[in-house]
Amino acid sequence: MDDIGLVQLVAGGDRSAFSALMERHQDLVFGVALRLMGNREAALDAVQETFITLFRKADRFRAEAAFTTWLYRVTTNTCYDLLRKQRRRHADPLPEHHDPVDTRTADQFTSVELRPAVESALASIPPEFSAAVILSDLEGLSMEEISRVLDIPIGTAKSRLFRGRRLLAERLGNLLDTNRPLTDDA
Amino acid sequence: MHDHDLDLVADLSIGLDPDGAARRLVDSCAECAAEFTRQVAVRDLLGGMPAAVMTDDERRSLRAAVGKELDRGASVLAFPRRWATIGSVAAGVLVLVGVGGVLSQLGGGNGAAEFDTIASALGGAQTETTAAPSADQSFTAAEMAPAGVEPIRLVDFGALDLQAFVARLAEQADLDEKARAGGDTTGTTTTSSITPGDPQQPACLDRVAAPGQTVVTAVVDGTPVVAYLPLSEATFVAFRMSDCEPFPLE
Repeated sequence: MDDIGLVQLVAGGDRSAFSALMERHQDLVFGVALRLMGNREAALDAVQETFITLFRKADRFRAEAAFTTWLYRVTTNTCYDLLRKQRRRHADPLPEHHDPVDTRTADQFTSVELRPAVESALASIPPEFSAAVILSDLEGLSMEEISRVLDIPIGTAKSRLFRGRRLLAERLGNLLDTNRPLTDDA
Repeated sequence: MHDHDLDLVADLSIGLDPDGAARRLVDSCAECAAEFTRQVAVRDLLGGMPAAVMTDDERRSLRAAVGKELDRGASVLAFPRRWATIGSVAAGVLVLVGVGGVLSQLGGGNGAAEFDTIASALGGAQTETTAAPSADQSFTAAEMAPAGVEPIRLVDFGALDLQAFVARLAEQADLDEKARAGGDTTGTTTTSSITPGDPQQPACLDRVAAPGQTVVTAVVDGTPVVAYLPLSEATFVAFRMSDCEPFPLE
C-alpha cells in the first residue's frame, strides 16, 4: 500500500498502518533530525515526537501534497521546537579558521571520515539555514519542495541555502575541497 | 560582488542558468568564481555523505517509546497544546499592537501604514509576518508550525562596541524567549530602524528573516551590521550591511 493509503488508515486510528509508515520512513526522519539536532540522543527524541505528531494529526494530511513533504515539515518543526527548548543562551562566535584553504589536506579525507566534522558544523549554524542545506544537499529536495516543507517563498529558500553553505564553508575551512574544476551540474 | 551577482552564483550552484549569464559571470569574476567553488564544494561534500541510519537497538527503543506514548492516549497533550496556540496568537497580536503603537508615536500618527511599509521592505517575509493561525486549515498552515505564526520584531541597538553588541544579542534572545513562552514581554516592544528603499539593507533583510525572528541592526565599532536571533539555537549570526558578508562576533 502506498503512503497516502497508509496515512488515511492511520487517520482512522489504525496502529498497524502506522507501524508500516514508521518502518518505511524512520530512517528519513532520523537522517534529517540527526543533522539538525547534532547528536543521536536528541535526534531520537525528535524522531519519537515526529511520529507521535504524525499519528495524532494524520487526519489533517491532505493528499494534494506528497506525504514525504508533510513528513519533512513535521520533522523540521519538531526539531525547531526541541532546539528551542534546549537552547544555549550564549553567543556562539563565528568560526576561527579563516586561514586560506590548504588543498593538500583535502584529498586525505573521505566523506565518511569527515562526517563528525560536518555534522558538528551543521549543528553549529542556525537551524533556519542548516535546514535548507540539509533538505537540499543531503536529502536532494528541489527548491520548490524546500519552499513547501519550510513554508517559505522559493527566494527565501534559495537564500537560506546559499548562506547556509557559506557559513558551513567557513566552519569547515581546510576540510573542503575547493581545488576542483568548476562544474555546475546540480 | 553585487547582490545580483550573488543571486546568479546561487542559481548556478543549484543548476539554474537558463541564459548562461551565471556561467559568464563566474568565468569573468574571480570573486564570484571563488564563491561558486565554495558553494559547490559544500554541496558535493554533503552529497557524498553516507546516510544516517539507526542501530537495531535504537529502532527497538524508538518503537517501544512511541507505542508507549500512543497508549497513553491523546487527552494528555490536547489541553496544553490548545492553550499554547491561543497563547501564541495573543502574543503575536500584542507585539503587532506594540510595534504599531511605537511607530505611531515616532512617525506622527500613521503607525499602521508605516508598519506596512516596513513589512513591505522585508519582501517575501511580509505575508509570513501577519498571518494568524486558523484552526480549520490543513497542515499547510499553522497547525504544523512549532509555536504559531508571529511577526518579525525589529530592533535597533544603535552604536555599540563588539562586546556590548554580543551581550545585547544574548539579552534580546532571552527577552524573545520569554515573549514566545507567553511570559513577561516587558521590553520586547521594539522600534524599527529599517529605512524602506535603502539599497544597503534589503540585501540582508528581505529574504532571511522568518516569522517570530528578531532582526537587529546596530553600528558595531563603526560598522553597520544586521544580525538575526535564530528561532531556536542561540548561534547568533551577524552580517555587514554593506555587503552582507559575515561579521565576526569575537
